[in-house]
Amino acid sequence: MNELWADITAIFSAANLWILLRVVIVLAVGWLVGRGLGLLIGRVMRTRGPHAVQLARRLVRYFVFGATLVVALSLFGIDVGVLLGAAGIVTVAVGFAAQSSASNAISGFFLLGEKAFEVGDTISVGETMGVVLSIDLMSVKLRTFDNLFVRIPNEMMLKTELRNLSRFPIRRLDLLLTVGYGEDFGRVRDILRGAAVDNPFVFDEPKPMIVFNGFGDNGYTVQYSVWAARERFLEVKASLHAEVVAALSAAHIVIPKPRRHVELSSGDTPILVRVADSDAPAAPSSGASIGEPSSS
Amino acid sequence: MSHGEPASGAAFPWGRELSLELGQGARFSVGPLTIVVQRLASEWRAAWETAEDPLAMASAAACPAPDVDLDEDADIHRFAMRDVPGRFVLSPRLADRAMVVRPSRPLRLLPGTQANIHVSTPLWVAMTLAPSGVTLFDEPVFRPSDTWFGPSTVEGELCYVSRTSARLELAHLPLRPGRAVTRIHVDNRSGTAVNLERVHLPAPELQPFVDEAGHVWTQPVEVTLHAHGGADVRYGSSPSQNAPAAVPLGAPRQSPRRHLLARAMSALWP
Repeated sequence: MNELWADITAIFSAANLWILLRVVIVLAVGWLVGRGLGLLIGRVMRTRGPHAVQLARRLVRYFVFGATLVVALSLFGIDVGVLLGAAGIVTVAVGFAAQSSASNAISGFFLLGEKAFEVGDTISVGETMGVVLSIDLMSVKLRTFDNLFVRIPNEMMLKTELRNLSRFPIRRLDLLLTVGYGEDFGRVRDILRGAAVDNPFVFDEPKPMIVFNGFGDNGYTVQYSVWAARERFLEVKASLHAEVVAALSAAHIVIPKPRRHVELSSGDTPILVRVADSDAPAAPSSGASIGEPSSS
Repeated sequence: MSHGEPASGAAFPWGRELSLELGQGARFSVGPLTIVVQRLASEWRAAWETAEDPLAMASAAACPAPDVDLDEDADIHRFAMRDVPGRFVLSPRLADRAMVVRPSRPLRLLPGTQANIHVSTPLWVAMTLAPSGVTLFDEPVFRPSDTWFGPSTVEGELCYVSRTSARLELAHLPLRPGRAVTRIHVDNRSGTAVNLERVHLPAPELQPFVDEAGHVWTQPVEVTLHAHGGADVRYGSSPSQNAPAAVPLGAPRQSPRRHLLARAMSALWP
């Protein structure tokens, strides 16, 4: 017991405390220098976009802090070379224990290398859509449009289909309309073309595409595709639907309601259909407008 | 018409210094745009609206105008300041993006020939306080539609489209209030004919000039097409051929950039 107490007091001897103080100072200075250098690099690289700035800042900070740690360990009298040798063995052991973390870290490097998206881009991964807040070693952080914070592991980012909505400056908006068979397609095409011209955010070129798309249950279908600037896309999406409906309605062009063809399994026996009187009492729930043949 | 002198009917007072006393208002119409401004004790108020016809021919100014009272409940813009200066200037500005103009019919320019193409593009109206030079607003007489100008949907430039005609004879181009006229001189020194289907006009780099009738012009754009497929683009110094008495009014939004011009003109002839 006395020996243990002597060992503990020896650790906290004046000489060791001085070393400890120097280590703390070295770590604090390293942290400050890393942070300062990171900010400086970020300022120099600000024209290259937030993604490059964030990446450069982190690399500089990690590098400076790693170097500081080596210096601090050497102050304790620890041989860094031996430590690095031991680290190799530890890495193998940790690698087995933390396969998913290692996979995320490696996936993170691939993601950075691919440059499929950058900080500030709007992306869609699986069912999640949002703005990229940061691309980190283990995960990508998003802010969804309903203001939720979402963390997606890098491994999943690499395996899942990813859509970058901010990559190109213009986007196409597709509307699929159903128009009654009685309506003239040429007239519908002119009205849709007019709606595109009247909306200042719909591009004149590439030209709006109006295509007879096929025969539907209730009418023929028309694909109506227009182009708009990425920044205006939602605005166009919100306004154009309403404008198209208003323009078709003003021209008395019918957007048909769904119809269903019903066959009753009554064989060859005709079914009597009776129109109920408007002032007649309400029909019983068993159904009267298409009812049994009258017995009277 | 400067310093509070009532003005109406005549040429639009582009670039002239106007003034209003506290509580007074003014009304201006240029093309489809109507602007109403009012000077109050600690703010300027402004309202503007655009008529449906983008080619409207209105040109009127009343400063001060009777019965101008911009209510807070109306759709107005307010500019608060401690000392509200009474003097201001309305200036014409070219579009803040490049314009794409189409000739009424596609034009084929044969080798070794030259042509003048006259195009008109909508103006922006800027209200600037004097003498500080602070701009209160910078609004288009009407907002042109967007369009994309480039070889693909991935690469190109966001522009406005002008759906009025491009004319070979200036006499065939109506001089409308609220539009600036630009002459594009094309010299085809290449060995092949070129199709002119649309004109990419770098409007932010053009300077407005105003003549005594209040019409707005820009300096001409001179394009030389060479045999090796390249093109030189130069801006003239003044629209002397069309409006000898026109005077420059303000600077272009952007200073001309050589590399940009080369890119714009290489895309001019698809």
